[in-house]
Amino acid sequence: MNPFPIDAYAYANRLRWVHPAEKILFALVTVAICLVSGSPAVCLPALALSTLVVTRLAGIPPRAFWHFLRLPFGFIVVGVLTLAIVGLPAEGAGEIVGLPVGRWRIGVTAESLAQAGRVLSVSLASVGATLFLALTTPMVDIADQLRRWHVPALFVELMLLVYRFIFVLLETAQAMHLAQESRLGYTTWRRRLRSVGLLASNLYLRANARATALFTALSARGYTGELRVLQTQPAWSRRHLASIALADGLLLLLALTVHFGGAP
Amino acid sequence: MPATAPPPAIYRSEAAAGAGAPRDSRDDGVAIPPGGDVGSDSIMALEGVTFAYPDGTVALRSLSLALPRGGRIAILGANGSGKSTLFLHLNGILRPAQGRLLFGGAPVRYDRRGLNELRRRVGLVFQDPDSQLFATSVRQDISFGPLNLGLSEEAVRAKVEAAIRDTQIEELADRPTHLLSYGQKKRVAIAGVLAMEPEVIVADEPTAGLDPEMTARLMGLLDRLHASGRTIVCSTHDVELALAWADYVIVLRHGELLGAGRPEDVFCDVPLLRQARLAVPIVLDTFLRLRDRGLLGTPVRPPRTAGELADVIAERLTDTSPAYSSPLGSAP
Amino acid sequence: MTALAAVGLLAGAARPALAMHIAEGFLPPLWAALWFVMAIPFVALGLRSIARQVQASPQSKLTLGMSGAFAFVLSALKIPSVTGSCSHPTGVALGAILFGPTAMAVLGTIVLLFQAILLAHGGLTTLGANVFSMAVVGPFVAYGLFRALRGLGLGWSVFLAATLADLATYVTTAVQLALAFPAPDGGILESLVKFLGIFAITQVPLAISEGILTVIVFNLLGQYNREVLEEQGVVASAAGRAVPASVARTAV
Repeated sequence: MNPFPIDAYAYANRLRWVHPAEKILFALVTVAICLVSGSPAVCLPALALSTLVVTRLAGIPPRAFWHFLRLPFGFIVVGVLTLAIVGLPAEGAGEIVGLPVGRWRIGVTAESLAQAGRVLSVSLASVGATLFLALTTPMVDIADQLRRWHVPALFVELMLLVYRFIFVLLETAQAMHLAQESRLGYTTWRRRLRSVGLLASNLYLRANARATALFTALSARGYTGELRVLQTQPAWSRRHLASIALADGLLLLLALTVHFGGAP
Repeated sequence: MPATAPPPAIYRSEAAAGAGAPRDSRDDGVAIPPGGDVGSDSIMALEGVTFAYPDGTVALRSLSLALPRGGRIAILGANGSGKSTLFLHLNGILRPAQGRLLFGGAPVRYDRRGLNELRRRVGLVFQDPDSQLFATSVRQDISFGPLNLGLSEEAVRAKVEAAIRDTQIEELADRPTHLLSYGQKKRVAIAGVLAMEPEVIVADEPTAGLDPEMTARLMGLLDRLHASGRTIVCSTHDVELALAWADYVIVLRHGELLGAGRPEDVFCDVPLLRQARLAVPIVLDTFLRLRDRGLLGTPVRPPRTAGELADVIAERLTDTSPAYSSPLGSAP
Repeated sequence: MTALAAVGLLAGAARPALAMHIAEGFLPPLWAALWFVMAIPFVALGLRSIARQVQASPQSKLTLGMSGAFAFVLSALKIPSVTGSCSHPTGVALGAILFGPTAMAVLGTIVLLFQAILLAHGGLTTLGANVFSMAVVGPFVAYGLFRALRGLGLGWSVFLAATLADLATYVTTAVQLALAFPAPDGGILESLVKFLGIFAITQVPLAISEGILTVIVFNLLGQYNREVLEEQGVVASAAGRAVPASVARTAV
C-alpha cells in the first residue's frame, strides 16, 4: 500500500507519460498568472481549469481531488481569517463588524474582507495547479526534469535518495509503532512522548545501518561517489504545448482584461 | 604463494568413499570428482585468506576454497560462520588481511582497474533488496552498474533491456520500487547485477523471506542464469534446498572451511553437519535411517530430492531378486 | 496490519497541525521571490559542504539521503502536545544537531519540497519562505544554542535548543506573513502581533513538547549507542573517534 495517495495517483493516471516539462510548465505558468493577477475573477476560472484537467484528462476521481484540495485548508482558513480581522482606526471607518477589545477596536472592514477573499482565491487556485502536477507526475520524472534544467546533480541525487528511503523508513516506523501500540505504549501523555522518542531514536539507528548496507551494496556495483543512472527520454508533444499555450493564454488574457478593465 | 599452489584443503568424506563409483553430476551441472577437488577448474579461489574487522572480530581464518567453474554452489554455515564476509571478499568490497583471492587462476589486483574488472565479473545480490535498490525507477536502478563500467548510453540501454528480459520483470519496469513486493524487489536487484554481465553471481540467502512460490520462481531464475553458463553461488540455511539445487557445497564454521564437495556426500556426514550447526536434510535423514536398518541392501547412491528418495524405496519394494527378501513384505 | 498502522501514523500528517508551512499561493509574488533569494545562498552553501563531505567519503552521500528520509518520517509522527492535542514535530533541532545546520538547509529543502508535493503541505511558490524559516533559521538557532549552552549539560542544552528553535521558526513565519500583509492601519507591527497571537496557541505547547521529545531521543541515543553521537561530534569521544565496526576496510 502506498502511504501517500497523491503519490499513488502520480504513477497511475492517464497523463503519466506526458513530458514532465509540459506538466511543470502548465502548473507553474498557471500559478504565476494567479499570483500576479491576485484576482478571484482569474483564480476561480484557473481552479476550474485545473479541476477539469485533473478529473477529465488525468482521470482522477473528482472526490479524491476535492479531498486533496482541502488538505491545506487548515492553514489557509486560519491565515485568511487573520487577514480579515484587523484593528480598526476609529469608529465607523468602513467597518462591517466591530468589537471593542480594551482600548482598541477590532473587526472586519470591506477592505480587509476583499484582501482575505483575494488571498483565499489565489491560494486555492495555486493549490489546484500544484496538485495537478503532484497527481500526474511521478517524483522521478520531476527529478529528471530538474537535472535537465541544470539543478545541481548532487541536489537531485539526494532528492531521489530521500524519496526512495522515505518509503523504506516509513515501513520500519510503522512496524515499530504497531509493536509499541500493541504493548500499550500510547496510553498516557508521558508514555506517548517516550514511545515516540524511542521510535525516533531507533529509527535513526536503523537509518544509519541502512546507509552502511546501501554503501556496501552500491560499492559492489562500482559506486565511487556518483549515482549516475540512465535518464528518461520523454517526448515533447506539439499538441500538448499548443493546448497549454491556449489555456494559459486565455487565462492571461482574462487577467489582463481584469487588470486594465477594472473588474474586481 | 606460487600460482600453482596445491589445491585447497578439501573435505573428503567417508560417505563419498562409500558412495560407489564416481558419477556425473546431475543434468547440466559440472562434473565434480568424488573428493570434491576442483582445484584445477575453479573460476575463483581463496588461498589462506584471513580477515578481521576493525573491532577485532576475526571473520575468516586462513580460509582456502575453490569455486568450480559453471557450478551451482551452495555455501552453508550458521550465523557468524563468515558467509557474508566471504561474499564481500569475492567482489572486492573487503580485502584479505592475509592470503589472496584468485579469479580465473590469476590473483586479483586491488587497484581501480582490477577492482572494476572484478566487480564486473562477480555480481553480488544482497539479502535485503531494500539495501540494494537505491533508485525509485526500476530501469534507472538497473542502469547504475553498467554506467559505472563506463559504457556508452546505447550500450547501457541495451544491457538494461536485456537484463529486464532475462529476469522476466518487463511488467515491473515501469513501476516505482516502493510499490513492488519483496519478491519482486529481489528480482529487480538480480537484474541490476545481471546488467553488468557477470560470470559469477553470488546471492546471499536468496530465498529468505520468500513464500514457496516465489522461492521456486527465484531458484528457476537462478537456474536459467546458470544454464547460460554462469557460476552461481548461494548462501543458505536451507539444507533441503542446497541438497536439491547445488552441485557443490561448502560448509563454513567460525570462518574456517569445515567441508566441501558434492551435496549428497557432505550432507551424509552427520557429525560434520552437527559441528556446523546445520540440520540433516529430511530426505537424506530418512535415507540414512533406512540404510542403517539394512533396508536398502547394496550401496545405493543417496537421493537429493523427495522424488529420488521415493524412487529408491520403490525400487526396493518392487525388487524381485531372490537374494533379497524385503522385510517390508511387499515383494511377491 | 501495515495498512492500518499507516493510517495511524499518517492520519494526522495532513491536518492543520503542520500549520507553520505557509500554504501554496499564500504569499504575494514579490515576497515569495524575495524569500527564495534569501534561502538559496544557504542551500548553496549546504550543497558545497555536502559535496566536500562526499569527496572525502562517498558513503556520506547515502547517509545524508537516509537522514533526509529520517527527517521526513520524523515530521510525519504524531506527538502529544502539552495541551493534550496531537501535533507533529518539526525535527528541526534534532536534524541540526545530528547532521549540522548547513546540511540541514539542503535536507530541509528536500523534505519541504516533498511535503508540498506528497502531502499538499506548504507549496512550491512558498518553498523559499518555508525553507528560510524551517531549514535555515530553525536549524541555525538550534545549533547555535546547542553549542552555546553546552555548559548547562546535554539535557538542558538540547531542550532549550529544540524549544527555542521551534519558537524561532514560528516567529520567522509570523514575520514573513506580517511583512507580506501589513495591517491597513497598524502596519506590519499590528499584523505581526495578530499572526504571533494566532499561532502561539498551537506552536508554544508544541515547542515545549518537541523540546522534551528531543531530550528523550538524545538520552536514548546516548544510552544505546554512544558511538553514533560521538561520530556526529555531539558528545566528546572518550577515546578518539569511534570507528564504525561495519565495513571499514573498503577497497575503494
